[in-house]
Amino acid sequence: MALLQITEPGAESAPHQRHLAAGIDLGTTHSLVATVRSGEADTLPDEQGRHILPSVVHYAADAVSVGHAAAEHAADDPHNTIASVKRLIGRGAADVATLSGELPFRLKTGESSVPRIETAAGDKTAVEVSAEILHTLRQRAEETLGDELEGVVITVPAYFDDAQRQATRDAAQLAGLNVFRLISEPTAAAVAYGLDQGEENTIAVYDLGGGTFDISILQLRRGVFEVLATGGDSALGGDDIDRAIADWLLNQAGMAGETDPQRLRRVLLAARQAKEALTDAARTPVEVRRADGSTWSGELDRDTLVELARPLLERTMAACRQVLEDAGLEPGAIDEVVLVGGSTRMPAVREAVEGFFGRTPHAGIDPDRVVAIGAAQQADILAGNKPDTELVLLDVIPLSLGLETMGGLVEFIVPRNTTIPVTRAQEFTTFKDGQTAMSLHVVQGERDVVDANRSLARFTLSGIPPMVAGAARIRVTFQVDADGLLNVTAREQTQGVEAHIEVKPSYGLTDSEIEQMLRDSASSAREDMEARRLREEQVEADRVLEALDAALETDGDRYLEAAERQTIEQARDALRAEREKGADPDAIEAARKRVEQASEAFVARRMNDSIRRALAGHNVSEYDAGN
Amino acid sequence: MNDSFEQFDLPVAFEVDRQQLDERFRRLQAELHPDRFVRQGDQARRMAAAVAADVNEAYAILGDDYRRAVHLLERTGVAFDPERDTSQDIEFIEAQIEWRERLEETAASGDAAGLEAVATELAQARAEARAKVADALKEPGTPAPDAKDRVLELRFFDRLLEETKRTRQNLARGK
Repeated sequence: MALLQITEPGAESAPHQRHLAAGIDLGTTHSLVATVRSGEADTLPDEQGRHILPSVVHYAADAVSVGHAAAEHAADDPHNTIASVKRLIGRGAADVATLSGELPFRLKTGESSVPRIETAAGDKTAVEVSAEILHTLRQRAEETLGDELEGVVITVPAYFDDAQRQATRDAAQLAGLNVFRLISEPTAAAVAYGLDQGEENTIAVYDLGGGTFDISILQLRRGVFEVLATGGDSALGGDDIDRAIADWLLNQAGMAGETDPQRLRRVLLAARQAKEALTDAARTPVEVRRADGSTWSGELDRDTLVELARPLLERTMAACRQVLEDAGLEPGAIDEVVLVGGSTRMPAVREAVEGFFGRTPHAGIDPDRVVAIGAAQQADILAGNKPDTELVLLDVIPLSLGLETMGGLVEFIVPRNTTIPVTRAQEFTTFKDGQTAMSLHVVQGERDVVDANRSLARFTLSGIPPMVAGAARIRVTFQVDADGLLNVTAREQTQGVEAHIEVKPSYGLTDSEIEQMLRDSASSAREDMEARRLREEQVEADRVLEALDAALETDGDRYLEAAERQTIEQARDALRAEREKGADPDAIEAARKRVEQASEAFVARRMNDSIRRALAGHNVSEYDAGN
Repeated sequence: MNDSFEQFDLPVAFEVDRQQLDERFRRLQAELHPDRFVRQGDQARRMAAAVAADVNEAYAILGDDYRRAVHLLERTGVAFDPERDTSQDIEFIEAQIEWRERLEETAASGDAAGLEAVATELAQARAEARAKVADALKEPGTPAPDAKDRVLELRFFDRLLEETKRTRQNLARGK
């Protein structure tokens, strides 16, 4: 049953054919791409052997550079060198205003709800900047693997709301990537260590990067990964430890009060190198050049480093205590601890974490790469390379979804921690005679008052048939998909009229804005838009054809009358002919839609049957267990 | 498929075998989660998402005493309106007021040990309310006439326990 992927082990139609897939860690300071090859997941290096891509994009008037090349412009061209764009993605003008003091580039907020960054290459949104980073990683993967990626899994912070997730997906679309799934960063790290294989586990993921600290408590229960609580400090990281060491060095060298930026940079560099050396060594020599040209030589040992790092580690531990409290747990309730982020290489960090949770943390995988590696493993499963893997990663919605009601209050529709995908419906009525439209305001957050939550979107329903007040029954359905993204539909129940919905995302791009960007974007200018659209339609047609052929072969006789089968086969042959012609993406799309329409009942019957089989399969194993 | 019991092929009854429910949930998600359809085209993925959402919902209903009881009653034509429904039993309304007052007074005095005691008693009372629901729904096709009131009482204890938990957390946090 290829359509439902219940292939028996070894019965894969083309076992030699691997589906290319990758996992992408799109980080605040750096990003990585990983893939599974010969059963092993690992990150992919660039031509110079560097795995880490700095999340920096530099815009010149006629050229865009990404990563190390872009980072080199940070000092000489700060306004056009965009770093830490993840802090802006899916955010509105108000959020960005509070951040702009920390960011060197120029922001402007115009008529669109999405703020733009002014660059030499024109105004850019955070989505477009992120798309450049994703595009670079995509190229790296495709050049390494020698073919196009079928799809990717991209990681996002556990606390990302709908707007931030949607923006991340938009960026992937601009970069020409097919997103299998967005998964949360701590979940990916837990997957990399195989912690998704257990029965019940409570897992703490301690993620100390260069400039951010996140602590998440996950619970795995019967295949459902639930984020119990998440916390941290968005302005705390390994960089702070470097600064503490640098201050100590300046004091030791009698250079307190030093202001020369170049000398300070060198001291900071020496501090970082000393810190890294102390990962393996107990003590390390350090040299600092003074203003008068003389050199101070000394030594930094681990004990001193621990003393210098202690205040920062204390702050992370305070965040750990808080998040455990939020989850209603004692430190002893944590079964597994996972370390993420380059700063967790420091022995002092490991000891502090071990001391706090009372157990040895998982640290066998490079903490810079562990998130990308977990994402790659999940991508490999989703691509269908492990047909006998039964486990699916279920997720929960991280923040409640609600609607604005009278008086600026929130009515919650989908509470946080509900397993997704989820569908909830709510009925509304009109309050005026002949009313044909109404508007809905969707917010995300936990507070009772609208203004304390994040505004996600305003929906305008129109085309409600005119009736007396209170007679119309408008059923609004909220669907949250497996990525945590919301979709809203509405139908007037008494007359069965589909209401038209216009969506105004509060902090997101509208569909037409994205379309425009697709046309304009630097990444797509490098390819021919039409050619790309054609290829996408061909790939989708292939998917449908392959799945349908397999389904007809196994189940066609069982579920289809001769006439039905003939209709489906005719539509299928027409699609195959259009696909082979390979000329017109619109024609392929239309032919595919006809196939989907013709086979809808068939797909539904098979899906119902697979439910029965799943349940029956259970009964068999239960019987086996009883013997 | 609107019947949650049917969806999980479980006997229509108030008591469910939790292990069996979990095992079936896992099997169903393993087959039907949209992740299993990422290479099958958008249509299959959308349909899978709809079915998986149904399965999630049915699992949530069957896994929760109150929601399962409501589902059983609704199957027999008893209507529920979560906004307006309250127990009509005068004795129970008085008991509710008493419980609330006790919780509020103990919370106001900041007495952590006292709160813990209230929580323990509440848990006992909830267990009794649950037993009454189970009894009222012994014949799921023909529930006892007062079954709805019993179910609303169970909801009261669920909510109050949740509130008590929050109050205790806030107290521990010094708020």
